Amino acid sequence: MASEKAVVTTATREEIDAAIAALTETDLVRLQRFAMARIVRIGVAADGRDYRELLSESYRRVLGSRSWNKAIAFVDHLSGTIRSISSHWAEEFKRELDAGRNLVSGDRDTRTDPATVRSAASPAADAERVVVARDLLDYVKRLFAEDRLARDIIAGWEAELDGPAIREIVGVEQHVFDSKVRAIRRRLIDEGLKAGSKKGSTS
Amino acid sequence: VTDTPKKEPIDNVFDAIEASIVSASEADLRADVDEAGQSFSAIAQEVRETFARVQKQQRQIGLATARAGYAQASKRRSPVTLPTAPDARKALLGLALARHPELTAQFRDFGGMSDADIQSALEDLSDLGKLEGLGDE
Repeated sequence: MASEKAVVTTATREEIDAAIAALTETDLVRLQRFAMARIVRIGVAADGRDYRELLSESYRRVLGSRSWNKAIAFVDHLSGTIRSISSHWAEEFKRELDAGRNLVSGDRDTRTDPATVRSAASPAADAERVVVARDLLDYVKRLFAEDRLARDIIAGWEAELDGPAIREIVGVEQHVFDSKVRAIRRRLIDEGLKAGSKKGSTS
Repeated sequence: VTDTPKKEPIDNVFDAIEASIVSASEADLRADVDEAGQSFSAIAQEVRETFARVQKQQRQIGLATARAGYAQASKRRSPVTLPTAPDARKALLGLALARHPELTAQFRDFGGMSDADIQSALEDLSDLGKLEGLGDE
């Protein structure tokens, strides 16, 4: 019975192609922004790959092993695949670090600022990965050091507070909050990608 | 004992950023792009082209796989070992043409063919499965 259900809900290659063709400009821009955010998030673990490669690999995966259950909106399935693949890249990279890969002498892109590279290049251990994460958080905080509202919003996110809770604490209107979130998002992605392209983009 | 990595504060920050992208309205995304001095349509087109390249690559891979499968199938259809003697090869070709008269138009000059041409013709006919069962006759 389970297989009957799968036959009904799993999309064919033609249906996937049609779903890709039906993506709106807004869907496409959203996917691009999402893929960029994932690349910035995994930082050095992107290992020279950019958001275009992440989008391409995600689509390839949807056509292959990661079949689309049509009960889920296609753009959501693709976003989930982007998240899954970038997480896989990060895990793969972590395994390589654990195996003693040297990022500084390697010939691949190192993605991030020298402090983070130094941290990631040392023999890896859980403690060092925490250092990498803290370096990234420090980097984010430095980006917004002169912007008090941005700092407060980021601090709220760190503490796992949602938007309404942060707005209540900080005391700003919805439109002011939304505008600042947009500014944080844009700056974080743009500056994060620039930091990653300093050693040369692959595309 | 499970080994789930502890979630770092930076993960919460990026979770919030990603959630804001997923839930952003079209107007919000347009503002993102405008504020970055970029073109909404140009970004959408670039992503569409990225997907189109993948589609094309996947089709090419599919075609190459199909071709490889066809070549394998052709090899599997060649059970006949060609005779070692030139006269025997010529006789086999004659037998094949007699059995498959639709092929005679392609081998009108059968009598004047060199042994190399006969051998090549037999290999082609073998690939087409036209020699099956003839080796025993």
